[in-house]
Amino acid sequence: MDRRLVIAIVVFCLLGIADAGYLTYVHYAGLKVACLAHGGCETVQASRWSKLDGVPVSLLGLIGYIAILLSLLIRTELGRAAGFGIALIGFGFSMYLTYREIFTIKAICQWCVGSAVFMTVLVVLTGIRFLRDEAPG
Amino acid sequence: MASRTKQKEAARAKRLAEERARQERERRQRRLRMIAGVVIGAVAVVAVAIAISSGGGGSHGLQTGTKLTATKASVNNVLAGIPQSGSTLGNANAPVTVTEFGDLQCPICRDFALGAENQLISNEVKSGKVKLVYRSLMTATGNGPNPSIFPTQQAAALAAGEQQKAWQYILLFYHQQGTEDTNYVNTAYLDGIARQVAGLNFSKWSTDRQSANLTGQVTTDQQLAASKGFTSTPSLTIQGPKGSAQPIVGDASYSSLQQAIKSVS
Repeated sequence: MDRRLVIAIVVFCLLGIADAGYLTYVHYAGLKVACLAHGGCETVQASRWSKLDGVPVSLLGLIGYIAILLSLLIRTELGRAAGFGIALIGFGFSMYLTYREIFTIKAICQWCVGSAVFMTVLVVLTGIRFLRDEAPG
Repeated sequence: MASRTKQKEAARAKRLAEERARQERERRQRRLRMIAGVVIGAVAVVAVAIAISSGGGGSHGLQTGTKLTATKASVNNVLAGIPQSGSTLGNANAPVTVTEFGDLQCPICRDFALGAENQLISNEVKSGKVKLVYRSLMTATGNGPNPSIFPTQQAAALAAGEQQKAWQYILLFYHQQGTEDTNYVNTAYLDGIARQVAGLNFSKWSTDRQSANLTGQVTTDQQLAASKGFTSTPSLTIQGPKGSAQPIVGDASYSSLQQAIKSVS
């Protein structure tokens, strides 16, 4: 069971890294974001909510996914707690950003929605892994 | 004898069971504390992040005192000795033209103006290699509470351009840009920026900024941006003797600007 959970967490972390990594690259290279919905991504990326105190939120997401991935290397309860805690932070902030997209910026960026979905799946997976009461031994 | 041994064993088994139950209780309590700690910690981090994000960055409207003195000195310093015509900054015969589509209320434009663009002006524009043209494209203002202020606000900068001071106005605006969505741009704000522009004839500027020509220019700029498929600010086009570079979008780095300029020079 744990093995399957770990594999699923790795897969979603890699998807998240690809998504957030792309947005971070595009931001620093000054490129246009490839966008399915008309113009939504650029509008979102150009809004002030795309940065947190000057740091692009895509970079924060990238760091988050990598941190969840690295937490798998710590094979103790602490590692599972760290993975869940980071995913929970990512999930909470993603929900806030999605709210801003819908109600304030009024534009949707599929890369951001994708990342919010990956984070939601990760909070569930890391949550199951952490909360499952495994007796020692 | 056998009965005493049995009693002893039973007592031992009971003790062990109690000990196990106690350990299990402690383990559960420790886990509960850990879960609560993780959840509370995560909620706290998210709350702080939301507070920072909602609080908005940067300045909050017109500056005064030493802060304003420093801002004016910085703007005057970067623009010193560079010719201007309308919304164009730099040598009219410069081989490379960088056109920026911007919105004065857009915070990413501010980041770009105070970062990479500042370096571009200090180096390539000052040396006469590049001329920089400012054009209007509504983004942040359109998402705010009063989109109809957009032509007025952009024309205020163009009116300063009638006196070869558009870029002083643009940079002073970006330096003192208010928080997005707070409806801070009004006549007092626009007049306030104009009064900070050294050597600007205020009454001429006040008349010019009402001109239909200038608000018409804002509309033309937006149509041009639409024809290029730009929906975001800042969007930059870079043209030189070797043609056009791939447009640059967002708060680009100075090195990516340099690369694009090099590719068309």
